[in-house]
Amino acid sequence: MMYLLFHFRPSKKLFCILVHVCTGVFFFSGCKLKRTLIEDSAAPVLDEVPFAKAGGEIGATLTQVHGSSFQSAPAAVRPDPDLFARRLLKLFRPDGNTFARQLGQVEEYRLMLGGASDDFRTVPQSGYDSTSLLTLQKVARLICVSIVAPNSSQHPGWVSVLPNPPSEVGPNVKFLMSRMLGLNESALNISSVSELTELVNAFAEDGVVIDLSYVNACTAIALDGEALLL
Amino acid sequence: MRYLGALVFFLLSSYCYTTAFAVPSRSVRRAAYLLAGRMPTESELSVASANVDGYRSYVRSLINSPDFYDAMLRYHERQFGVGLPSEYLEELQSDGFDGTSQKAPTLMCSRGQGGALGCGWRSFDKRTIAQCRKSEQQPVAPFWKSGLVLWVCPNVVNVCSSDLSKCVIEFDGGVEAAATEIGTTDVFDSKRSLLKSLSRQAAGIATAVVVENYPYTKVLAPGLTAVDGILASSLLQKFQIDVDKLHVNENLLRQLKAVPATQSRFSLVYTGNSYETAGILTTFGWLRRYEKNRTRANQLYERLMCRKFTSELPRVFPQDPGNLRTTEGCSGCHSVLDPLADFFAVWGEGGSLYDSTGVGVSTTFIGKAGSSLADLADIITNDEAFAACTVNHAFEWLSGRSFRQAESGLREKLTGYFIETNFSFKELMYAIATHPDFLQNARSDANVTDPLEQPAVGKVPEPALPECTTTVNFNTDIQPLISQCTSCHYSNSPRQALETESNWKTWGTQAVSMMSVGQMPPGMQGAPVSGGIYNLKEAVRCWLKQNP
Repeated sequence: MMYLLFHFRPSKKLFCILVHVCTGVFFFSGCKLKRTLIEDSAAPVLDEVPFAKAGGEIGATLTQVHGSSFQSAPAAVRPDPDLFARRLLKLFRPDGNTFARQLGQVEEYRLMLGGASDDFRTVPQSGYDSTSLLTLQKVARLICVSIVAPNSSQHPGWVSVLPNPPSEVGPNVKFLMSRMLGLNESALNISSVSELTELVNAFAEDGVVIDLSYVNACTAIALDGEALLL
Repeated sequence: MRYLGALVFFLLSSYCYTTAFAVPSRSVRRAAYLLAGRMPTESELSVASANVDGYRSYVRSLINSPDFYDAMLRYHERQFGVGLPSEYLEELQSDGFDGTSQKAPTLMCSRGQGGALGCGWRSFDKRTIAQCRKSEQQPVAPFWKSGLVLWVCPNVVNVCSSDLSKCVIEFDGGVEAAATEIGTTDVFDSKRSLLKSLSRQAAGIATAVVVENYPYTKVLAPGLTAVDGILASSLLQKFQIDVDKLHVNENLLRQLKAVPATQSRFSLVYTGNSYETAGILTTFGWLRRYEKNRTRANQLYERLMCRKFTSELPRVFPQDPGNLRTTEGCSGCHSVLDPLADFFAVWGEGGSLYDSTGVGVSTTFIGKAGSSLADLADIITNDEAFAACTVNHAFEWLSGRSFRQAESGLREKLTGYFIETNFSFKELMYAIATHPDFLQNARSDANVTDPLEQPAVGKVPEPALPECTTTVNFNTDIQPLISQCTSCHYSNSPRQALETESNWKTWGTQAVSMMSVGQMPPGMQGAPVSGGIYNLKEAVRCWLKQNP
C-alpha cells in the first residue's frame, strides 16, 4: 500500500478525464481536451428580439368569452401516436441511454401505431383502427417490461418501479393505475383494481408473484378506456 | 325580505358555480396532457379538481411550466407538417475540397467490450480506413454530452478537433440512435439530429414566439428565425453544411456561437429586417417540403388562414388551358392561388431552391399589393382570417373537434380576445382551457357534421371590447386621467393638444387606437391590459360611443 502511495504517478491524461468527469468542464490549460464549440473567450450572446410582448389576461373580456357556450361537449382526444411510447416511459424513467435504447426498440412500430411518416405524407392518426389498437398492445407490453420487470442486458441500470414487494399486489396495481391514468388512488374503480389484481396473480410463477407477473396488468392499464381517450 | 332572501340565494349559488364547483378529473387530466404532455400528479389533481379557481391556477401553472414548450412544439409540428425526407439533407452538404462528391469526414462510433465508447474513421464507401493501437488512443470530450469520454486515434483529433465537432458522427446500431436526445445520451447521430432539427424549425419558431409571449403574428416576422444546438453547431461547420444554400447571413452566423451545442430547445434569433424572409414560411423545412410555389401558397392558405381552394373543373378539360388565372373552370382557384404563389418567386423551387434569382415579382393577395414575402406576411397578419384560423386550430387541439355552425359567436369572441391580448397565444390557450364548457365530463363525437364555415378574408383584426355598461362623464371619469397625456400633448406643443373635452372629441378615436396597441404613451410594453392607460382608453372609448 505504501509502495503504491509513493510510486503511483497519475498521468496527465487520467487527471484530465477525472476532472472532466467530476466537473464536466475542462479548465486546466495543460489539458489538451478543450471544447471548441462551447467555450469562447468573448462569450457571445443572442441579440435582443426587438418586438414588444403580447398582453396578459383581461378579466372582463374573458368573462364575456366564457359567456358564449359550446354547442356540444368536447370530443374525446386520442393521445399522440408518435409520442405514445415516449410519454408512457417518461412517467417512470429519466432521459438517458437506456431510455433511448428502449424507444429505439419500439420505433419500428410507430407507423403501425398511427404515427407520422418521415416524409410527412402520412399525418398522425386522430382515431384508432384495429391495426393501431393491436400495435398499441404490443408496444405497451414492450414498454411495460422495461417499467415493471427490467433486465440488466436490455435495460442496464433500471430496476422495477413497483413501490412494494411483488407479493403486495393490491398496492402495486393501484400505484400503476394511478400513475398511468393520472387518477388519485381513491378515485380508482374498485372492480378494475380487483380484476387487475387477479390478472397479476394469474401469472404467478410457481405460486409466487414476481415482477414479470405485472406485465399483463400494466399492458391492460395502458389499454384502459381512460388511457386510450382523454 | 323574501326578495332579499332570493337575492342572497342567487348570489350564493352564482358564487358556488363560479368558484366552489368541483372540476371533473377527466378535464384536469386532459388539460395536463394537452398543455404539458403528461398526466397530473396526485397532488396536482387534488388541487385542480377541488374547484374552478384551483383548476384555473393549475392551467396557468401548466402554461408557464417548462413542459409547455414540448406540448407547443408538438402542436406546431402538427400544424405546419411533420417530418422531412433524409435525401434533402444530402443536398445541403458541402462538396469535398476538390469538388468531388466526397463529403465531410465521417466517424463511426460504437461500444467496445466493457461498454467503453470509441470512434474510428469511416470512408464514404463505409470502409474503415485508419486505425491505431489501443495504447495510442486519446480520450476526447465530444460536444454532444457533458461528462462523456470517447477514445480515438490521434489523427481523428487532428481532423475532427478535440470535441469531434468537425466530423459527421454515426453510431453503430441504429436502434439506440433513432431516439437520441442531445445532452442526455452517449449515442449521437449527426444526420438524424440535424434532419430532426431542420424538420422542426418552423415549429421551433412558433413555439419560441408562444413561450416568450410575443404576439403570434411574429411567427411570420421578416428576419426572425430560431435555432437549437444542433442547427447552430451544424451551420457553423461550413465544410459540412453549405450555408450559402440556406441563405444564412452574417448576422445569424455571428449569433449562432451563443447557442450551446447541447441546447435541445429552439431560441429565437433576430437577424435584421430582410424582405425575402417571413419567419416560418422561409425555413428550410417549409420551402423544401412544399417545393413548388403553388404548393407553398396553397399550404399557407390552408394552414394559416384555414381556407381551401375548391376546384370546379370543366367537364371537358381543354388540352391547352392557357392562362389558368383567366380560363373558365380554372380561374376560380388560380386567380387567387397563382398571384399568391408569386410572392415566393424570390426563392427557387424544388431541388433548385438554392439557385434562386432573388428577384421579386409585383403581385397581389386579397386585394393588397406587394412583391416580397415580408409584404405577404404583413398582408396575412393584418387580416382577421389569420387570427380566426389560429383560434380554429387552438380550439380543435384542445376540444378535440372543430367549431360547429352554431358556434360562430364563440369563435368571434375568442378571436376578439386573441386580438385584444395582442395575439397572445398563451392567453388564447388559457381562455379555451378554462372555458366552463371545456370542463364538462361528457364527450361528444369528433366528427362534426355541421362545421363552421372558413373564416372570411378582408377584415382588419379588431378586438372584442368590453361592453360600456356605465355612463361616462368627461369631467369626472376622463379629466382626472388625462395627465398621462398632457405632459406631451398640450396647447402650442408640436403634438395635438389633449387638454380639453373638445380636444378629446377631435383626437379621441386616434388616441384610443394608439393606446390600444401600446403605441402611446412612449415606452409601453405592448397593449395595456390594466392600470391607468387602460382605464383612460376604456373611458374615452365608451364616452365617444355614448356621445357620437
